[in-house]
Amino acid sequence: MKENDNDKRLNKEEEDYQSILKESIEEFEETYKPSDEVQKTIIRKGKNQALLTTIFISLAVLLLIIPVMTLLTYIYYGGINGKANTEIEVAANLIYVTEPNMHLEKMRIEDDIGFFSMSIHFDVFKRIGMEDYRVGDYDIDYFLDRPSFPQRNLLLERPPENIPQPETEFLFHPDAYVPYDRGGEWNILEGLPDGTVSEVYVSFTEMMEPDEVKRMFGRDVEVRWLAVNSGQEGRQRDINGLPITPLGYPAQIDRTTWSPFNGRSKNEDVFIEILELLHENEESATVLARAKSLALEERLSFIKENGIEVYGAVITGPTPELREVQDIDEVRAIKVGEVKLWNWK
Amino acid sequence: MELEMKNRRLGSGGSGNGAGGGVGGSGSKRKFTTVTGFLSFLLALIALAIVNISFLTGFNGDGALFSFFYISLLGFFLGIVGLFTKKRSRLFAIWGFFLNLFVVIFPFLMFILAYTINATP
Repeated sequence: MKENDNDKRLNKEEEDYQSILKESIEEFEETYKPSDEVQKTIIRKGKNQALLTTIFISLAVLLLIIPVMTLLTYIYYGGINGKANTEIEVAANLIYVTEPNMHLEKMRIEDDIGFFSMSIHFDVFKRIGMEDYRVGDYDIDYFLDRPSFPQRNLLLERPPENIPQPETEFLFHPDAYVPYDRGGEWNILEGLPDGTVSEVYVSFTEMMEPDEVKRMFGRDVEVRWLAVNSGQEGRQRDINGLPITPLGYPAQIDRTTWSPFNGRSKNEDVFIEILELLHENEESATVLARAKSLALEERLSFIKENGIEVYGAVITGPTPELREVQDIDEVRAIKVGEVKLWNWK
Repeated sequence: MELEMKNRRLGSGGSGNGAGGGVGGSGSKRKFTTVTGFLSFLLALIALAIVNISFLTGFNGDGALFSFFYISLLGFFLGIVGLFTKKRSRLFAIWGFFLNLFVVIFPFLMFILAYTINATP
């Protein structure tokens, strides 16, 4: 009996519960459930708002791409030890030590930073007689820290070959074969008017000390650049058989602002420092240099071991004074470079 | 159990118009963004657009390049106001705040970094 009573009571409670639940749902629907029209409006508004938010935020992200990429590029290239300065240093210093009698104004190197790329532009000069002449310019493009082959626009009477070969070089080691008619070059010098100044590449019969070279020529001849023996100039090729070009350094102190050879250290020491920098960045330096092999590992060790021995030089001065170089016993061969109107004071 | 259900029913029914309305009201407000936050976001978009145009066209004359700085500075402060606005969606205020902050510090960062590259007096 008691069990039956309990069951009935439970069933009653269940019915009450269901009835309350039903009433609540109905009441909720009556009170809060919006009409179909309102529901559609709410959904439409929600969709529009979501779409608008998505469009605005996508637009913001798109507009951020260029500034963020630019900023990241500047972070990569800039900073105290940024890549840009190292690459500019390599390109500029390479000119001083691989292009005879050529220099540049480091202060006037122009740079242009793009998206993870950089291009630099600079003019190059040669001292002929007593004046510096602009002899061309270089354009170098970089992607990150990888340079492309430089665009050289050289305005020279006798420009160096873009792809150097032993027979097209101007300076020769005593052991190297001189591939041109030596008398022909002296004839060129004889044929030039007296009122001109010239640049002459001189190759010696033996290795000499830098100071000896400076003393060897008269007072009216200026030694501009010294070609240094690095152990491979005799063969004119590196150990892999690739042609090499001379390594050397300016013989005079360069007063140009920010020149590495500005006299704060001895030019010989600066030369070694530059070779070390180029050795650290040899991949870039090789792309930028005319010679497709710099072989700096072997050449730098040779120079450090044997010291600076000079096998050739670039000199400049009045043409009549340069003709007298023919009388110097140590001069093996010459090659006439650029000639300009008289500017010797 | 019955009492509990009654209490719940009474409780919800009794405060149905008060609390429910309150919640409903709060919810309907929260789905709208703050005006200042949205303005801040719009100003950030304008400033970024100017930055992009100046980068893509190289045009930076007549102070146009620096107009983005003042626009984003205004947007930055509006963004701060938007962040402290209650009972409204702060989505655009957050975006506006950070975008304007980026645009405000962007020229300084660029100047410092550009100065370190091939620095010449």
